[in-house]
Amino acid sequence: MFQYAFHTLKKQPQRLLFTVGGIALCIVLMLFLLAIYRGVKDGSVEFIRENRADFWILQRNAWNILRGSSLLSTGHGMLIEDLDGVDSAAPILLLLSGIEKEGEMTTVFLTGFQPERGAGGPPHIVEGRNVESDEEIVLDKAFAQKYDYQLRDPVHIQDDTLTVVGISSGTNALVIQYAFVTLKRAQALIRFPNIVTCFVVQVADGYSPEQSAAEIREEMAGMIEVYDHQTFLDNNIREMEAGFLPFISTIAIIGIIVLTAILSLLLSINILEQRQDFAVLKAIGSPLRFLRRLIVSQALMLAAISTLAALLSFFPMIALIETMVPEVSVISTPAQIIAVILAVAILSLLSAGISMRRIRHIYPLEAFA
Amino acid sequence: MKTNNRFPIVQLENLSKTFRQNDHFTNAVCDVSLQVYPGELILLLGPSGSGKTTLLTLIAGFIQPSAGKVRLFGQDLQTYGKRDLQKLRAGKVGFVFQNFLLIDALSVLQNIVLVQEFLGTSRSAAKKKALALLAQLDIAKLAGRFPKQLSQGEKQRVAIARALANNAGLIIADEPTANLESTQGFEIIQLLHRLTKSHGKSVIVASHDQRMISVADRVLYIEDGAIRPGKASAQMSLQR
Repeated sequence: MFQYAFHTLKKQPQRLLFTVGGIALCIVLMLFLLAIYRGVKDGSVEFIRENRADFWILQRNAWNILRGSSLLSTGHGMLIEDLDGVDSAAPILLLLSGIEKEGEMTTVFLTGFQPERGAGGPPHIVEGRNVESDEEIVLDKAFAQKYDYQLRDPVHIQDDTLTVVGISSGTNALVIQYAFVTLKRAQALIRFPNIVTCFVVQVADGYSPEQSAAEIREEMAGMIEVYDHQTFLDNNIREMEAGFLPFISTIAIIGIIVLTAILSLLLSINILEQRQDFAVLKAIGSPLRFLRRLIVSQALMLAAISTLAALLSFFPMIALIETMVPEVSVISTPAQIIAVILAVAILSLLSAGISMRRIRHIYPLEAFA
Repeated sequence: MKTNNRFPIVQLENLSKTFRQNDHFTNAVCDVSLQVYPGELILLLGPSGSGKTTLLTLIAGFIQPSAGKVRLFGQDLQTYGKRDLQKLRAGKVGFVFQNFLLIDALSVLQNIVLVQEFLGTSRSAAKKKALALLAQLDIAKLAGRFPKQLSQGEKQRVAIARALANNAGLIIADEPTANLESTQGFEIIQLLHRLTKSHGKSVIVASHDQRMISVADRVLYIEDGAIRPGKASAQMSLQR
């Protein structure tokens, strides 16, 4: 049966090539969307994930830093650090800030932190080192690549000129990239020396996180929100997904529809072209399940060939995209590939199901025509 | 008739088939009664459009009669469900078509193995049986070839092998020599005769080919859907 299924597919090599190409493109699209989703997810929240804190403290009614504003003062930090259950409260200031290069402006998610405290800085340094003074800046790898920044290059932010001392990774959120400076420099840029966005809090020895959180909430009631690390991370992931998932989902659904349509169309054309064969098979006693299995075999064969073609072209294509459009951050994992293979198998079965309805309208009597 | 004491493979009782197109009615088969016994070769002779093929398709259960009954292997076809009919065709009835209708994508051997798979025969057993059949029909050398590589006569031999693959008791052949050259056609006629006599198969052939008369046990002349006994005798006398 497999041989028969394969023979009938390859009878029209040009059509087979176009079909496999079309399906492979849809698979590449799905793989790409998953990879870009993972890239954006990691790039958006890696900064939060890697800055492990017992608590994140934000302004009252704020719950994330990606799509919300939170304004606190350094005075809040002093009050928090004075509490018995708190070991440290490192301030972070996040700003959307313009960088000027050769007359063109671009925006970064400028993150001010206190390097001596360690918290709030870049999650990974891939080149150079972390910020140590107010005249230094660490740029995201994709941003640096896109705007051709190297270590020791000057970066113009407003009226100041900083020097690139490091390149970070895990700091690319597709639509914007993180950049890191000292807290003092960030505050100076907006002319509010005491303003911060949030505090990264570590609990003092001998206190449980619950005890410390209760103490902070009691002392600063009505002023702040206290989130444990996981809740804060989840809040930000949810916000990122709310802004990004509808876009990705729409394209993915289009890809799924196109893939199913191409596959169903080819299988239906094959059935029509093999109409006489099917009529003869029915006439000589072929059970309906045999004919159905034949269609399913063809669908799975097409899916397998297309998946192979897609996988072979996906990785070189990703490498090319990353070189040409560095801000497009893509992360591909074996789990994603397995998920796509399973999805394609399911879609091919669905397409076979759509197409095989045509078999019912082929009659054994046609063999006598 | 020498076969009357045996159990008939095919029994047709006052069989009729009328087709309707808009308000126009065509009587394709009119009141045909017939019994076919094992080891009998029945020839349905008649001009184009006389109802020969319609009668074959009624016997095979592809269409329902407008009146009358078809019994195959003792059972009324109307009592068969779709699945029973499919099993009957797969296991007990073999078909030989005018245009051979082999599956082009499969080799000769695979064409014959395929039909055995319908009955759940294992691949190795099906292959063994197919090779034996090909040897029996003197076409063992064609096993690995594809239909497009065969002559018309070879194709029809393979089609007959396919029809025999599941030990069918009844072979239905629709114009088996129509697309063959004279010599090849005669070989197929001889082959069908041999199968009837040496293998005890019942063979019903619809044909224009007058040479078939010489090997037929009975000739039924069909005209306007009805059997004309006098014309058949005249044809047989002429031929023999």
